[in-house]
Amino acid sequence: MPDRVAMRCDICGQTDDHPKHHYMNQTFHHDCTPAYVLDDMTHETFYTRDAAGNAFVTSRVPIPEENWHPGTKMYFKIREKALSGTHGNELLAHIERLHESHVQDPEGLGMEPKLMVPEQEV
Amino acid sequence: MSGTSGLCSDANGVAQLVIAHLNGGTALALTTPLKIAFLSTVRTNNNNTATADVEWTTAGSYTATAGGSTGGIAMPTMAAASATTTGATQNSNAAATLTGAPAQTWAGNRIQDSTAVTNKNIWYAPLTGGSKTINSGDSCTISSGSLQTAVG
Repeated sequence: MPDRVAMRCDICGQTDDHPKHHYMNQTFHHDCTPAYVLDDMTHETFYTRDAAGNAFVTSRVPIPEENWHPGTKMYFKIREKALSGTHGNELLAHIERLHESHVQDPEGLGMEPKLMVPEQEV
Repeated sequence: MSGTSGLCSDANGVAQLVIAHLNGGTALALTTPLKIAFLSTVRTNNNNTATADVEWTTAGSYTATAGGSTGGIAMPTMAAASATTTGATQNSNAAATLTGAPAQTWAGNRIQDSTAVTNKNIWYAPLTGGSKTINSGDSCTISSGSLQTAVG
């Protein structure tokens, strides 16, 4: 893979130029992504606040798969391929094929923002 | 997201529209869906006059934002707004992911609406922890709760 920057996976510690998953400032192979990240991608978080305004997580509710963020749906297709042992150039080619074949909505989005969920009272 | 961030007040920004609205002027009108643009350079002041935003160009699975709802990725859901000692805050409560990214630098993001022809720029923020190098084919996730907005 020419012109690719080798990066270290924060889970397995391997440094390579395989396609990676960037979760804010963390980096993982698609098949190394930890459970808490997968949980974050598939759950809605509910908070409560104390008198000082500090937020505390009270619960995490699974998002029905049909309501997942469009990128989450695509991510799990990539992860499934990586878990089956496809890495490096082969995985990159798979990702490119996925996006070429994926019938996305013509405007590049795919999900209307949902109504806001009321925050729980302290 | 953290660092120098806030409401956009460039020519297509909303800060000046918000304050006019709050003071009895023309009501602010935003067109949904809101969308998230990926930036390789993030402005250093609200009105974009110092270092200006540079959005990723269309490549890989990313489509650069344009008029209407073209481009960017979908906004995640937001928790209810909360009053605080300094004003009010509202944060995302789900994650948003771009897969099949182009080779780019991920410096931050901007939220904009879907106004036809010219979108309104709403919020901007650099990536927490600094910019990241992205290889083509990578996935980029904005974690739940990290889109943090505040006024006050």
